[in-house]
Amino acid sequence: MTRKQIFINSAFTENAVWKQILGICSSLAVTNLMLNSLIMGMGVTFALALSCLTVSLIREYTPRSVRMIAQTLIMAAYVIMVDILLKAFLPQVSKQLGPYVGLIITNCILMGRLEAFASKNPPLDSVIDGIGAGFGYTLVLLLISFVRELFGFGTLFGFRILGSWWTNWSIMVMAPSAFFLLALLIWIVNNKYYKVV
Amino acid sequence: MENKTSFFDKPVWPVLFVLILSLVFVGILAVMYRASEPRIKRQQREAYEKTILSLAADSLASLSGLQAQALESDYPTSFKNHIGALDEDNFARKAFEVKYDGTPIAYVFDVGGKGLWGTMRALVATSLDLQTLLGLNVYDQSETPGLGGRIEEEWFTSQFKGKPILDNSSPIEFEMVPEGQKEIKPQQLRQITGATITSKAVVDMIRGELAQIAKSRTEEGK
Amino acid sequence: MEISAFLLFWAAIFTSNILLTNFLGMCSYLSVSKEVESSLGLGIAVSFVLVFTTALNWLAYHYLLVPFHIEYLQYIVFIIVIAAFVQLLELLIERFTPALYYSLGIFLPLITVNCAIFGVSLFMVIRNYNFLQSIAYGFGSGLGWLLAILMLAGLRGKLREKMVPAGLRGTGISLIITGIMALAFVGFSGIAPIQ
Repeated sequence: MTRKQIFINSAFTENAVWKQILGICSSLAVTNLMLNSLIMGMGVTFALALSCLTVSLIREYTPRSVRMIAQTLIMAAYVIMVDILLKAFLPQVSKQLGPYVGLIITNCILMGRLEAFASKNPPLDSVIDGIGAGFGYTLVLLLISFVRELFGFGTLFGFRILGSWWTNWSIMVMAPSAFFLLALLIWIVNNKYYKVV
Repeated sequence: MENKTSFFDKPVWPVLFVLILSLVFVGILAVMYRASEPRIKRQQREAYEKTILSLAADSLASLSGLQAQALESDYPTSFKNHIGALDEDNFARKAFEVKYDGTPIAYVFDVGGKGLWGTMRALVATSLDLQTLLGLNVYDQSETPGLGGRIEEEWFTSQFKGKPILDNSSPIEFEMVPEGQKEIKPQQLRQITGATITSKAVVDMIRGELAQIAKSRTEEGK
Repeated sequence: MEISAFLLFWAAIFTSNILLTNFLGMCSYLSVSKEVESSLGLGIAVSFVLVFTTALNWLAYHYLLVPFHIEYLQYIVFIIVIAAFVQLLELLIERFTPALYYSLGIFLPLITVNCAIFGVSLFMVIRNYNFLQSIAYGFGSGLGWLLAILMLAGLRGKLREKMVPAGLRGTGISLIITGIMALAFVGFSGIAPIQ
């Protein structure tokens, strides 16, 4: 596959969230605000890209029996780096995301890409695959949070869009809305993109 | 034909591999952490002080004729000029006094209490006689995001401004009313829809803490 | 810390269900909920892992990480504790109840990356629970997760797939059902008293 194909594949065709149903937990938790979604998406992409790179670089030397432990260790280390960077440079967002930054480690997307692609492919391809998956993930998050923030707070990225005539929809602030919106997104994608009849 | 087992086939290699990997990464993380620690601590201290400043800004604004906004943006100068830390032992908690022209005009206390899920901490500004609340900022809580977590929202905390909180040393009772209620009487407070327990917890925390502060003050004869 | 462990236990199941309110543990929840039996098995396994790993992680945090001022390594330590425990559990299950081992299949090792387990340990640290509270919270969360997956499995069993629009079959409808359940659980939010 060409580099471009790799990207398109992991970002759209085999999108982690709507196709592979991975990384759902955080997709629902941080999508109450667009800013949180963006930062979380960037954090995941950062950790994913670097993890893919590292795993790919040492794939020839990694003994088979400790493959998963090594992957987990590498992932966890990069996520801690993301956590430290957030706390140091974006403390407000860090507070909002809270424990969900740490939960990037258990985000199945990372383990999934590392196992499926990075452990078997050259470094640059793996990085692109990782960035693609992260990008696709961020996209889904932004789409859901767009609706949730707009109708739940009347703002987008903190900027007021809907005037004071708007009554906030409390449900958009709470858990259930994320479930419904994700289901809706999957439905639309299945019909338009994959032509599931 | 070579029949030597290479080092990499020995069972000790995987263990060694993981060990080396761990050491490398833990080492990198330790360096990153130490490097960023001072910055993070400084930011936390600044955020804390800015919160105290914003709680004090309204009282200062009415006396000094300056805009509350201007005072807040003038951090750290305005903080040094107007906020002084008080001896913790006097109040059994962190306390600050707000001064204008050297004269104290208000207090800010660091109070804590239990929420539904964990402890919560808040900075609360009161009048010098401790009878009236001047402001509230919940700065640490672990309530349910989107529900109890909304106690940090402006509309919730700002409703405490100007509320009488103590009658000498006894805490005043408040009536919790629905979030959407339009008319609010002085002894009523809006609670968060779906988070009535957390809302009440905040109110109880403030009442309890201030009652204690008042009692310890009269006991000390201050 | 004065919140009673007992209250925490009940609240973890209903008012702040780890899955329906905190969104954790979704991946295996969505995949395994096709059948009630495997859901029950997985749910019990998850509860078991939750109680023990929360307890172990509490010990690790308070006796290893804090004294040495290396709290920032908690992510690595916790995930390793969880991975090791699940590996151990897998060996035990394979030895003593092979039927369960085969029916759970791949999902047994996947318990390691179940965000609910890791998340509960993280929450325990953030909320500063003592040992008893942590166990109560871990156990309650496990039961809450079990409850959620059983409900979904039961509902999916009764669902006539043909009536669901093609694009929604499988994951889509599961998400909608979960959303409705989450809405219902919001109704519980007033029942746990503090004093």
